[in-house]
Amino acid sequence: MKRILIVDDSPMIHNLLRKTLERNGYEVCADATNGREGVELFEKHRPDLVFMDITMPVMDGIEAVKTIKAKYPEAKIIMLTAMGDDEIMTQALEAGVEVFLKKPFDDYKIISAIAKVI
Amino acid sequence: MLKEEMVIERDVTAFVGVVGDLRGNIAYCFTAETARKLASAMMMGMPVPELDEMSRSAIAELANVITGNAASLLAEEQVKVDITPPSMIVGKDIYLVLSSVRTLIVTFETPVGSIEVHICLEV
Amino acid sequence: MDSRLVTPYIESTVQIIRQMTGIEVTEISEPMPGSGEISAYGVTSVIAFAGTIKGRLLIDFQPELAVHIIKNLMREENPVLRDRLMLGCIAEMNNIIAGDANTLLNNEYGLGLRLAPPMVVTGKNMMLASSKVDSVTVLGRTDYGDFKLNIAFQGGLPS
Repeated sequence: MKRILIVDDSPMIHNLLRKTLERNGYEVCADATNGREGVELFEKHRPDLVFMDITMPVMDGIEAVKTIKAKYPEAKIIMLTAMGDDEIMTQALEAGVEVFLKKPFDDYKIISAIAKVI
Repeated sequence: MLKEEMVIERDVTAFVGVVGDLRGNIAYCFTAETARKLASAMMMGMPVPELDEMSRSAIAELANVITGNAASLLAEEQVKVDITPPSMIVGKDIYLVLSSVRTLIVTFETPVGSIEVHICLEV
Repeated sequence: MDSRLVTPYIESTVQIIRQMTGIEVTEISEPMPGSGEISAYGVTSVIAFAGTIKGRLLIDFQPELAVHIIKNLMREENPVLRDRLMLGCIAEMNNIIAGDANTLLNNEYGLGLRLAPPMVVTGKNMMLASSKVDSVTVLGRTDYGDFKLNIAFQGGLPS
């Protein structure tokens, strides 16, 4: 079963996304609530895929993506954020995310994004 | 006095958002009585028997000016932030959540009562 | 107030409440000029933002509606309102709504609006006020209760 790391500072998003993923046959191997924790848990668990929010304390999502990709260029990251304007999307894609998704999400959006990546 | 907490229960809170190099909210919280006395002091000692529209706006302005000043000081330290318009809430049995991160509270004791400043920044 | 600034928030609110909770907004009023002072229904979330102009979105729910929203979002049978996590999901929904509307405005008009974190509050006899802004209020209705939106801006779009 594919293992997924969720990085987002909102407990509600963790709850909703976890349920969506588990319903569709994925395993959530860890939860991080900020970018730095996300990087640490990535190293520890080496998930198949990461869902990364942008606005988080300690280290934001774009920084976290750059940090992870620098060490693990093969890492697969989907950005999942409330703020999705062109400027932010460009930054995210340049940092190396595979797919850029805007909240809110539904099963279809999540599953089709995952299918593009793994 | 420094505390860590995430919920504000005081009757009057004025807050200003911060975006840029730092992101968060700064909230100034007091009792209704302290708010009235502060508003009165801001309006040249005019009596404020209850928190009306003008005095509420004075409190919001206070939050705006203090936070704006802090932003200028930060700019001198090469930390560039912008502040959002201020908002304030007055009520009873308040349960206010500023965000999901830990907040630092600095309480100032003044002759008109205490002012709790909740510094809620993503750092 | 310029409807180009107002419409995105109304549309995002209706769509996102539907998408995230399944709750339909059955009625929505025309924007009415606001006085900057809002008498709250009981569960209110405020999120402010700044860019080339500044503003804030306030969404205020009747408690019964807030409870229903939280129930649908958290799959929690009897949510308690005075709870950080439960109220947190109202704040998060507001964040997504404002983010969605801001994205449109940023892409369309280059405003570079960046959100501060949302605030959420519940209490009695609450009055919310914002200063230094121009605002409009929109009233909404659902089968589970009413809500109001107050959209405020400091500065506007070039005509």
